[in-house]
Amino acid sequence: MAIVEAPQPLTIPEPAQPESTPMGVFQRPTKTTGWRSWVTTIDHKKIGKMYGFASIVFFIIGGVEALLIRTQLATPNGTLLSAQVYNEIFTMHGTTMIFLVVMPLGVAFMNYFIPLQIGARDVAFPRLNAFGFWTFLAGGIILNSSWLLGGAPDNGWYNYAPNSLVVFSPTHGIDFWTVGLITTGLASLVTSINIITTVINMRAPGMTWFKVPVFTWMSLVGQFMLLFAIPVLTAAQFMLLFDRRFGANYFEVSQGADPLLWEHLFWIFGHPEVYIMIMPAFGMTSDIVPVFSRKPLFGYKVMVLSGIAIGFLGWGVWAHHMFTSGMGPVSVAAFAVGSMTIAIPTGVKIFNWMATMWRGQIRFTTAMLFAIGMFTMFTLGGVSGITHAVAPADTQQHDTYYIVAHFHYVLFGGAFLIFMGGFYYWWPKIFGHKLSEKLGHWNFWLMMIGFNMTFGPQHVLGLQGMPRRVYTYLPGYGWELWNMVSTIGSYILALSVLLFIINVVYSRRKAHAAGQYTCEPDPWDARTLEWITPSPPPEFDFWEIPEVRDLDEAWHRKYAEDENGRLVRIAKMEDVMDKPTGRIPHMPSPSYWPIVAAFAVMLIGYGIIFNLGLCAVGGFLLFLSVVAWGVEPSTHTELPPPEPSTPDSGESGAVREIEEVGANV
Amino acid sequence: MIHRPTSRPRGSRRTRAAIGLGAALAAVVAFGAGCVPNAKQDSLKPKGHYAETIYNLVVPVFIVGGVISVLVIGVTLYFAIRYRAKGDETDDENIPEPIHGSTVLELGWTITPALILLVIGFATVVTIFKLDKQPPEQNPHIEVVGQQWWWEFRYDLGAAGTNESDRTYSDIVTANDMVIPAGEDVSLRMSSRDVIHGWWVPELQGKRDVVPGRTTMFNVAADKPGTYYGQCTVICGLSHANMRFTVIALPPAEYKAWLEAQRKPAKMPTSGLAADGAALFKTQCGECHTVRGVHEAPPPDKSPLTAGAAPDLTHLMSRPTFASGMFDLRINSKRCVAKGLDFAEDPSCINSAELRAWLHDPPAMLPMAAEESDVEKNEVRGMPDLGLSPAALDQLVAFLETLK
Repeated sequence: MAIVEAPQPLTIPEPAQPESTPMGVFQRPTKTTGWRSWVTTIDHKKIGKMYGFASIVFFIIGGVEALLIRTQLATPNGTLLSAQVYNEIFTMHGTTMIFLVVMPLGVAFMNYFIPLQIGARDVAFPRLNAFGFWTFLAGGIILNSSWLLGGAPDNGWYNYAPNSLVVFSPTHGIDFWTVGLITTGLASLVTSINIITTVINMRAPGMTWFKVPVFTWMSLVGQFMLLFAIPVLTAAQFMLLFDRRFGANYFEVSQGADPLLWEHLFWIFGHPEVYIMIMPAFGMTSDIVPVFSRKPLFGYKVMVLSGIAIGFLGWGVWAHHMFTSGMGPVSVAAFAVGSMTIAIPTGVKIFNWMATMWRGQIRFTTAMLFAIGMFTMFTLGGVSGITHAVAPADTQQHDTYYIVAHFHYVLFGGAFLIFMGGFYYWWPKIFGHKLSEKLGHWNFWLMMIGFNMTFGPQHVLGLQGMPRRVYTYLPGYGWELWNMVSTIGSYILALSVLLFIINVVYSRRKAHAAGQYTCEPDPWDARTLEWITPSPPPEFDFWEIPEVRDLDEAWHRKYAEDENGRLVRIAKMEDVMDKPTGRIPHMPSPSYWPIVAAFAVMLIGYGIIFNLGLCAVGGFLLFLSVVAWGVEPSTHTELPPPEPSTPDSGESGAVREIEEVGANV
Repeated sequence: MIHRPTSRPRGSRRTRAAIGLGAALAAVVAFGAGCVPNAKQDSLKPKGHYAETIYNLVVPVFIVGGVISVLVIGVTLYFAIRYRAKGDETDDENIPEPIHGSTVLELGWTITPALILLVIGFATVVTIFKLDKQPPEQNPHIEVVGQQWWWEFRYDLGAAGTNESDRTYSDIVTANDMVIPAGEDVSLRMSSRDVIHGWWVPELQGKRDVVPGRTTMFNVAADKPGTYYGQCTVICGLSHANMRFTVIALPPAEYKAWLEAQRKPAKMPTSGLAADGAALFKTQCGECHTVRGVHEAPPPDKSPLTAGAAPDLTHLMSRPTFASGMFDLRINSKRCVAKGLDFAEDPSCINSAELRAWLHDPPAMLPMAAEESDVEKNEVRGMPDLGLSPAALDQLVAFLETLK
């Protein structure tokens, strides 16, 4: 390597001074450490961490709700919860897990890793990204504040009309559901716009579409689906809101409305929604299995195309949630066949993961265990899904515990298990240390046992006639045994989650006690671009935007074929990783306005429920925030020199050692 | 030369445990599914031909699904063991060959499932249309009406060939226990008075939702006489879990006799406690409950919540259950059950105690109001607490026990 002259730090030329300096309030914040740096951050990595943390908090809340359900149902004629409280708890459990856990956890990983995987420094609209997070949090707060403000919603997570109307649900519970989800829906919508734009526009040079990692690809498909699905839900929720608050008659039967309108609108959103939830999970599995099989993903193109196929087909199956609604045999037959069709691109993915493992060199890291757990459990959930597609069979299964078993197998066994895998896989990149593999293995096995014990027997309960959403059941129907087994399983599951939390705390303490705040860039010998950055990456992600030549770019920098056509290592990641160039890339400054605007949205939300005057206040604040957002300068005009990083800022230790030798390879 | 370690890697031991556990679990579940006593709502034990048709379709599908699951999980576990990394996991001399595609395999595992699904799909569509056929015109016509939180059954005895829109379904009105003739297809018209409910009697049929503002035609049949249990399946508010019913299939001759008896109005009692009870009934219960021959309740008004739609009690004592099928009206002993629907001929077979408890304070027996304060204000969806004195209860129970 020729030694070149050390490049000088970039000097920002003096801009022509404006006639007047901006008002103080429109200056950008400058804190890079402490709580203020978190509430004003626009860094996708910090936002990803906040999404992750919030999701886990909501997961624990939803999990407690689940334990209450299972404890109530452990025996017939349970008395732990009254009918009213039980109905609120199962409604909140479902709503929380879907909208406040699985979706935002996917977004957490997407936020952190999509820019890194495509070689970008951040997402396309960093402030919008922050706004998305704070708005999601506002929605979660609105929804959960119902517990303290008159009662939670109690009509199930899909909230059928007309039971959702005021005459049947006179308290504010349903309004919290409606407003809370409109708010989180806004967050989802802006985030989808952000991620779509990011992936389309900001891929590193050379990263053509079929070199994009599968996690990013699948997330993109999911975000496209979200873009179209959320407006349908929001429209339905506005209709419901207007029925409840302003005397509209969208769902008022006595005025000629058809309650099935709600069902159709909801499920046109609701079915794509479940694919939206599973897409990032598919992507993660496709990233993790190859790394720990030491082989490329089998059938990359097919994996991408099948994901896109699901993205389209997912729109054509919604009424399989309505097989028993009386919509007539032609509709039922059409949606039955459609639902079977979508099983084909889904099944293909499972076979490709298996083929990736075939003739590989499989390392049973915790991440790999969770990945294998994911697609085996997802297979079981998918097979039960096919049995629902057989519409006559579904008339026996619908609204029973068999359905509850199915969706927990695909959502917990599918999405959540691989999110756990994603934690173990990506933890060193995010935090600079690994989670304990020993605790991780215990975590995995306990979770598998608990999960299967909880939801396996529910297939039996459903086939034996136990409906869902029942606060209790009578003895003498043969349901006692499997309900008890399921409850015990749920406690084991809870224990496994506790073990995960313990692992997080223990691993962090251990690493920091040993002074370890960073670790090697590529602890797993992985394949995709995020592994060429330091662990954790610097604020600006890449010193130099990489040139991408191959799919699995990071892998191909380390390995190549020798003269005999066999793969051999040609470099260690430390040699070919992203190295300091001596100049810190200029990044957009933090901003106050995303959180202020989100707060304004929250005020509007509460105003709709309680007092329209509050809407006016929130609306005015929102207007101000948007104006401020638009006119604030891109950087603080008296920006101090970049501060050296300290451990609690989460910046990479590598930034501290700004080397002024050599250019990047 | 590759050095092979002598100790078995950890992953293998755990994987073997997994297989063993999985197999054991599957066996237990399979065993458990078949061997549970008292499975009153077991969809896997069909007792009517519609449920049998569904069962015959679903069993092969379950088998196919089971085979696929076992294959996928089994092969995965096999790969996990067979291709586990041995020895030094950073062995740079033995990087697996990067086989990453095969058009043959991709086509194979796309087309094979597609063919399997084609067969299943064809069978599914055929069955959908088969199950949708309405029973012959001369068969019984019953309307199933759902409302918070009980089931009403209304019989239309009009002649075969009557237009559906001309049928009033008012010839017999009963609740909780739907009586049908065994061995005959019954035409059902499904409707709701307030919110969406689901009607499901697993041993006889799949479920069908009742949607307010819509009527749908459905059907049911029981092969043999017997009692078949069902309940509501769509969350419909507070007492959704308590919204039960039974279908009672009678031998055809007994069904005819039942129809005859049900068509007769009740006899107004002329003396004793029962006569006092009848008078009390008109004032205390008459706003909502009808007893043909004694009192006609005013028609239910438009508002879905208010009184006016309560079970017709004309032949209350011919029904084995009361209060949404949650309580036995017929004592649940062998002797009394053997009396069938004529149990009330023997007063010792009437569950007077529980009936009395219900009349005394219905909201205490079944949740019908969300808040305690609602109960105190008597804002219940269902039968309110009428504050009946013990003497009043005696009279009412005496009267009700005449409604055979």
